[in-house]
Amino acid sequence: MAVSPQVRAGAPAVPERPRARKARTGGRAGYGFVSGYFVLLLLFGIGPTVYAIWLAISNSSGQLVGFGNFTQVLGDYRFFPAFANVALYLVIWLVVLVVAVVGIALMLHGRMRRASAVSRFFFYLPGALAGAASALVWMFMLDPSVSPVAWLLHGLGYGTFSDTIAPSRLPVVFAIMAFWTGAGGWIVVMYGALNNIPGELLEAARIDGASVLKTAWYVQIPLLRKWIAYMLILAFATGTQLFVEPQLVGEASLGQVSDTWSPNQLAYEYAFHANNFNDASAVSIYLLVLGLAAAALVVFKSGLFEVGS
Amino acid sequence: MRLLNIQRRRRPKIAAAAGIVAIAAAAGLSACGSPNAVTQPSATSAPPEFHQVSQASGSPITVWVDSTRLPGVQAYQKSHPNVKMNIVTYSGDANGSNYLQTKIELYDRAGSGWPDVVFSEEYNDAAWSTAQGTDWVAPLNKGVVPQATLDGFAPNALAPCTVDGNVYCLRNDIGQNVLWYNAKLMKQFGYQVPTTWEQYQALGAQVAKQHPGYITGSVGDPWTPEVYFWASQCPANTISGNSVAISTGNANCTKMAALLDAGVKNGSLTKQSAFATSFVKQYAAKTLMLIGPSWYGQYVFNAALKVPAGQVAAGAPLTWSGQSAPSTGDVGGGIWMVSKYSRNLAAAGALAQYMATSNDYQLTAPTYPAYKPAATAWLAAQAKQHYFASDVSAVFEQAANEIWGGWGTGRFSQENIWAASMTPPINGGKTISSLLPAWQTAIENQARSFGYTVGG
Repeated sequence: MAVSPQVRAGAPAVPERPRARKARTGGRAGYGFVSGYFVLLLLFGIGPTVYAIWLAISNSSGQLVGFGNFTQVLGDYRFFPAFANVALYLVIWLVVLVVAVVGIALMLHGRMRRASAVSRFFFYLPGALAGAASALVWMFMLDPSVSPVAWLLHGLGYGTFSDTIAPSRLPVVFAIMAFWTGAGGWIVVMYGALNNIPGELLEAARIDGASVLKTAWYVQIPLLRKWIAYMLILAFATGTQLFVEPQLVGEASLGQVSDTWSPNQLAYEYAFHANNFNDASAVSIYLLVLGLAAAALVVFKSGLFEVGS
Repeated sequence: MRLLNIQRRRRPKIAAAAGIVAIAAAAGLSACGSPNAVTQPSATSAPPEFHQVSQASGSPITVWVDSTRLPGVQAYQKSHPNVKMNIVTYSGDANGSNYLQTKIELYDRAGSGWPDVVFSEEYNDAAWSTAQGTDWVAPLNKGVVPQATLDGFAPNALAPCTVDGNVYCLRNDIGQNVLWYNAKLMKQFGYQVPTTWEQYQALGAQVAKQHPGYITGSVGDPWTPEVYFWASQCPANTISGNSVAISTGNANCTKMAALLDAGVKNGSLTKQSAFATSFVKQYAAKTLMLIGPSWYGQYVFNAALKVPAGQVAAGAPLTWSGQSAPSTGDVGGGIWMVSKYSRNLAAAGALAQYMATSNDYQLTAPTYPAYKPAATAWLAAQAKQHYFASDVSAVFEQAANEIWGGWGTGRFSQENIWAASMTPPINGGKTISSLLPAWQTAIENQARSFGYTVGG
């Protein structure tokens, strides 16, 4: 039989919490509260998804075409480059996100508790900036002729904006932008998760002689596992749907970023440049399947939805 | 407990599996059509016969304009208080934003919502606007705009608007390319203004030696093909109906590529776009020459580079020595379109005609009018501003007549292709000559993806 995750991670077993008493009464009121959201979800979430699936398996005259649209977009010369671009971007962004967010949250929680409320607020700020606005901020940051960190860009050998956004550097550039806007919120969430770890556990670890590093590695991080999994799922989904950053950097550089750099842009190109909503939907279904598969993998590997333990 | 977990975990799996089976069944088993052919929309067949929707005189018209053209429309509204207008400001589709097409295709799907009059900075927008399947514009020669007015436009100016003899838009302005130069610097350095490409190349080499840091042009703009290759009559954009024939290996292309490579190598041609912030910093006082459209005078030299009045002048388009018919390219130029769904075609057409042709508006416009009588008046007004070192009228008029007709208008954008597939490798140190085959492939791929047949 499978060992319990905590044991596998080498952490001391968590004392079993008293089982939450299930509120069996008042269940109907719960449905009432959820229904408002559910209707909106149906209209603007599930509905469009079903419509996209329908579009993806039919043609412009409404005939069923099976997987025809899927094989057609697969043969498009822009399909694989777009997915390769985003795959590289995802690897960079997810690794940096996990390492940096967990690291910073641990530091804030353990080392600088006094300053942490202020720091958390500041970390969160860039995330409050809308995606497009933040991308615009980055255009200034990345242009050596106006950037406040021009010395750094010149040091790296980038003399012009075109140098900074050379094709090979784009995945890193977009990962930096995404980290800047997305990481702050996650640091706040991780900090909250760290607060949930019972103090006795950390105290026990300390008494057993565990160093700060060992406590973090063997106690705190294993207990954050579900939160990290949750962050990964959401970050993966938003990452594969990358659109605003390449689109805006492309427009700001007068087109030096291909307008089909990411799969989402390719879908947009199909729909609004070639008037082919069916192929656009096929690309979006590929993204949906990819996102679901990745989520399923993380969920089942991490036991995210396990109840009790 | 564990059993409970397993059951809880299994349920979504089963649901998901059931869902997948259902989709697969719907998709695979009952397939009977074929996917959308990439060869649509087709441009070979003309848009279907024009039938006006039922007209309601006096009904309000919705007008979409960019901020540059907005004051003109507002002035029209003031002088025509009986015309009910709903003015919407948008990007004008600048820099390939594609906003207009996005919206129109959504309106097509919704079956309502089209604006009555639209200004677009991209004359290429006429291509999809008239293609079967996405057409939404009214033929203006069918009783909306008088033929005499249509005849008054500069040669080839209405070519992007014309499909099968019908005119679907009015050209607002044209961007005929000329040789811009700084007359003060040229005099100071003791240089003659070149008239041929050979002289231009030789002068570039001389500048690089005698005055390093000064430039004679740029290859960093997305419209590099329209500035150099169009002028050189390179067959990189030959479009006829629904077929495209590209040959970047043609001598007209290779000799221009060699000229540009030589300039880039010796430093007389910069790889930076004239619209990059770094360009302004580095070359504001060091732009000796710059080949570009007629609107560069005000937009680039006056507004962006802030070159003082009395220094900038325009020379006639360059030709290859021995070239019999002089030729130049064109960068940009907006168009006015009227919706075929408009319920007040009279008012919509009148506004489009006023904006494109009237002296009232065109005299205040920053760009060279495509309508000849307005252009004459515009040039006279420009001369009164005394910005240029010498009168540009003769050169502008000559260049407007020399735009080569062999460069087509496609549903795809040559500027996008160049910027995305040529600019980055050029910045990375590759020569344009070595990239010509890649350019050809990029154009052909893009043309095919828009449903064109590609021929040799």
